Amino acid sequence: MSQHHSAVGMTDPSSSAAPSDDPSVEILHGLRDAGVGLVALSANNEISFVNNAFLAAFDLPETECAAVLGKSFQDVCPTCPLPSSTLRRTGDETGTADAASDRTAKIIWSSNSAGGWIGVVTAPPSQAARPALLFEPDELTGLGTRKHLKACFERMSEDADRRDQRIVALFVDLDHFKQVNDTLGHAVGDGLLCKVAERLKKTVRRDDLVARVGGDEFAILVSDRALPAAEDVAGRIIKMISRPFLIDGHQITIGASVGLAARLPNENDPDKMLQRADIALYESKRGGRNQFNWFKDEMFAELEKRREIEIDLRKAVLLDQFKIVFQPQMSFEQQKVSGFEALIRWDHPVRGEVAPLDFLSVAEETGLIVEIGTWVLAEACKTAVTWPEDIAVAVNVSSIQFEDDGFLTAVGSALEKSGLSPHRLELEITETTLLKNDSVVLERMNDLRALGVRISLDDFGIGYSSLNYLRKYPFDKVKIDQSFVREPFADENAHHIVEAVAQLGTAFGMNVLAEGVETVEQLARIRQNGCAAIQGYLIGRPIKPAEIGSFLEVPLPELASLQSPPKEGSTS
Amino acid sequence: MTHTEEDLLRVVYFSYQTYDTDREMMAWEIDKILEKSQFNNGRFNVTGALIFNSGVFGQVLEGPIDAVEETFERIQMDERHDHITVLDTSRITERSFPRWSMGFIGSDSVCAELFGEIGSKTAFDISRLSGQQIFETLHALTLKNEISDRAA
Ligand SMILES: Cc1cc2nc3c(=O)[nH]c(=O)nc-3n(C[C@H](O)[C@H](O)[C@H](O)COP(=O)(O)O)c2cc1C
Repeated sequence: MSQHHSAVGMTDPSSSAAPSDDPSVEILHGLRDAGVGLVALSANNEISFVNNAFLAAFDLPETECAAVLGKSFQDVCPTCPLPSSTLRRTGDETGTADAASDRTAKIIWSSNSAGGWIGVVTAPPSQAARPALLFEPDELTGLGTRKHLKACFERMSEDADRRDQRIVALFVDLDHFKQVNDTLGHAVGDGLLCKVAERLKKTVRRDDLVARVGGDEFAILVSDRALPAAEDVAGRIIKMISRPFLIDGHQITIGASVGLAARLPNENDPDKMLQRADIALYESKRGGRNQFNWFKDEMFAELEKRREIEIDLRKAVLLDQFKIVFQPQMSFEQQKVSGFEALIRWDHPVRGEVAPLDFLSVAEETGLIVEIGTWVLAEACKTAVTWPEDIAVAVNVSSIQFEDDGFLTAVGSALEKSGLSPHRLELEITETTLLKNDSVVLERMNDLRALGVRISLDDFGIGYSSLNYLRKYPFDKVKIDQSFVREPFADENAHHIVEAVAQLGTAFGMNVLAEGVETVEQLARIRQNGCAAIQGYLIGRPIKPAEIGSFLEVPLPELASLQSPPKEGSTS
Repeated sequence: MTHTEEDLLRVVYFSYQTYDTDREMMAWEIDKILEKSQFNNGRFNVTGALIFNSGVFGQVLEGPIDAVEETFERIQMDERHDHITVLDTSRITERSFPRWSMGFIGSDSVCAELFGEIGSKTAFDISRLSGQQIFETLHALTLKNEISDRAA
């Protein structure tokens, strides 16, 4: 070992800082943790000591000090000229090695008697070389704005390229924020945004950047060696934002959806990256919110597809491309068809038959559902008026349509124009509608009932399915979701649930119908469970309006098995 | 939003301990929480009580609205618990725990209060209590001085 080595004191500097009686060990620990960058080189320019601050000044923050001991200084810090190349060695000489550029740190070197060098970093690169970024905070939250984010992105990109790091943009959107604003007012909404901003700042890591880029939209830039670090941040954000907030004495629970996109090599414009993150965010929202997704190229295609559907959808009403089919429902008591559910079909000249699942979500997102729903309502009433007096028609109403200001008028005019008596019209709404503001929903339901129409709760059993809904809202009918009727999901537990809902619904004066009945066994069981009516392929598939007349003439084949209700336990 | 000193708020919530640790570690952790709470709450004029049993925390916080909300917000960012559920928030005119910057209640005494002495050995589940039950039980115990400012 050279004398130089022993001068610095050679306990392994990477060993843990256990308390020690040896003062030289403590000095060494002190040097290692010092805020100023220090390095010691042997006569042949190998590193014999280095501390974290030194490595950080040379953009090697994650390198272990112990890992570079004994290595050639030039290999570890190629941007820094060797002291021997810039300074003449005359005894105890001191000098400054001019940095290769103002992007690298400056070092003062001092030679020692053993022929080695001690280097002290005098000016870390970034602070010295670059002016502080202009920061005009968002007025409400004090976070950076989109403009600030752009400036930071440029700077982060330079650093990331040098350090071989990745930059990821996180686009964060608050779920249910609009409802908070609508029901509790803007002051509470603003208070919530401020607390969200605080939580975001505390949740991200020190070097990540948080900005507010829209009403309830935030963007975060994360830079790291590995992409999972960004996933970690996204997961923590979702967790922290879903915890309750207290604002002005109100308890508020919201959620966050996040989209992630990584910076492409040499990408210098953050807008494109943010746009990709936004597309990924949209996927998170469609996937049920409170989740994160990475941007994928297919998402562009998917978005494009939905955009095309939207364009075609706008024309479809005018071009008369929608049709309605009707699926029969049967009441056990009357032992015959008691009504039909109207179901929309879209027959596109080029696309062919488009699945309702594919276009209804686009219709909801774009608000086109109001126009389409109004058409279905009018058309269904017009058809139903030609049926026998005791047969009802059920029409699905989306939550957006239900909330629309013109909905009451649309129902009134459908009835008036068709001449259908109101009690023959059943409007089916789902829980999604009930999740909105209670009093508004209740008022609307009461207005509709005042017109004389009836209201059913559709798809009961999936989602929240609070039994409380049955108590709180004046439904005429509950439709139990088919997953409780059809195998493989309908197990013993499902049967008990059907029974409980049937009993409770009946007790509240509602007509309880089970959907998705396909076999005689299912029918018998449903009946035993106490349901009053069924719908499903066993009774009939959806049929065209023109076929309804003949359908009603033929008695239902299964009715034979209903003439004598099955005894307890029998399945035939 | 600014409020006057007369606007008092009371919050009751429960939450679950995040990590599985043994009894001693948890007592130590709770001591740290209490120490911090007593220091902070004393400065912000917040009072209340905390109970811990079988991995579940129950807490009542009361004080000026802004102070309670700030304290609550700090507690939300704590990684030592999760699945925080607020059971009750109400405006009050008088404190129920005026002497306690954060009193701690051993679960045994709560069992005794809720179920009589016989029940005191069996574990019970704080998360099944209503906000009113948690509040009333803790309050009753403070009146009987069954409260401390230490966990162990
Ligand atoms: C169940 C639970 C209850 C807590 N109660 C309080 C409290 O009443 N007051 C408080 O200041 N901190 C409380 N804390 C601690 C806070 O979460 C947080 O660690 C602390 O307020 C940070 O204080 P500081 O910013 O002064 O370090 C609680 C933590 C837990 C897990």
